[in-house]
Amino acid sequence: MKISPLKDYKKPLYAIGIAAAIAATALTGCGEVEYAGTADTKPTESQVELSGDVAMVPEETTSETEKPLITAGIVSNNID
Amino acid sequence: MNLTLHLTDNCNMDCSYCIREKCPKDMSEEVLYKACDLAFSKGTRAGLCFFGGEPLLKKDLIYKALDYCEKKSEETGIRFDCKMTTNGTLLDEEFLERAVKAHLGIGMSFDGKAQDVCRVFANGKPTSSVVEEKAKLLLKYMPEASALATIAPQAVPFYAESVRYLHELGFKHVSFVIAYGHKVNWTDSDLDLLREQLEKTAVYLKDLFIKKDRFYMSALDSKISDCIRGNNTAERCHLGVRQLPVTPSGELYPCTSFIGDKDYLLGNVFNGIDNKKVAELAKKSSTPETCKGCDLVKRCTNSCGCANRMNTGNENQVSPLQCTYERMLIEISDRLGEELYQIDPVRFASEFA
Repeated sequence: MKISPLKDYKKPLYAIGIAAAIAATALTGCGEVEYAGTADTKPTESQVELSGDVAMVPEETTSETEKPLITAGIVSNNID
Repeated sequence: MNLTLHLTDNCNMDCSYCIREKCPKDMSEEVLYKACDLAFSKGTRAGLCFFGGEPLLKKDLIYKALDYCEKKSEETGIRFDCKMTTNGTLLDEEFLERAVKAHLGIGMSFDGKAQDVCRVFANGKPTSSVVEEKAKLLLKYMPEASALATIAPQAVPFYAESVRYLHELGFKHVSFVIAYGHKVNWTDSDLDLLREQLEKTAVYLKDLFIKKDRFYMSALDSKISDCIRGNNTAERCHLGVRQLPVTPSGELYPCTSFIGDKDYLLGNVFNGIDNKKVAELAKKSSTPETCKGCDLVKRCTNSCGCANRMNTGNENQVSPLQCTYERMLIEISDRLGEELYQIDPVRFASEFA
């Protein structure tokens, strides 16, 4: 095992394809319809994370103090 | 703000890779309530994760914290979220009923088929049969509960089998990490075997995807999602800002592996957070020198100060183990992502993007 910085890494096609699809959807206004005239929003999942030997999960990013609550412990940081 | 409450430093298990020093020290009610107040004092949300040692050794404190915080949430209008990491051996129906009422998210530390390799009771007895029964009980009350597996070198041969086992047991979310720190010793052949196991796991996940069986396996799935979303995994960790551990005596530290190191003490629940020390810590944090020229710098977790410190003693320095493992994960998850995308791009996008 060694520390080996990688060069000439190419982003996988799936990421490029979906990122393009997301951008196209945003441009055409085909995103989710929201109720007009109300501030009601969809409930969001808890942002508390489990502590422990846990990988981190992808989550919505908000302000620094609003990061998801982590599953406590020895975080090796994959996700969850 | 979010806090991890170390309700006790005691534990009824003796896991071989655990870096926490066990001792019969419990959090007092005074510290508990002060910590709850601190969680509500900043931001628009209050979050607590119950931890230890084994938090279920202090069920009384958990109940008190839940009652207190639910009331405070009603009074202030501040949303309260809570989670718990537990070895699961002390779960019972009474607790689970309360947990469901509180929307307490539970992560059960469970190494799957490798459970008895590293995770034994304090008296040395195996835990797998007890934990399996508790897992079934947990899933009966909380079908969305997570299993948290920590894979030490001696558990690697069981990795892929453990993923399958936990899935077949009923878990829909599993977190698999490798054990870091001074209690484990990784060799190149361990990592070669780990690669094989990850590749087997990828085959299994692909099979589940084809069958439309929704199952989240953190190690690979998070890399795929992050890649699509353009998340910088490395930016997730903000030492001293994101979620502070609170020790039984009420001290605050940046993260678990810093507990006890007075140079990193960030305050306590009585006097609050020392913002000057937090700022100093933030100023010290930087991308490891070895990672700056790497094309994967934004794909890997090189800025996890806690993991870095466990591996190198320095929160800004990664180890060969971390680099090798992260590159392996990225390579295998990239390949898996491509395959899943080719199978069903629409469903792939909805599940990962």
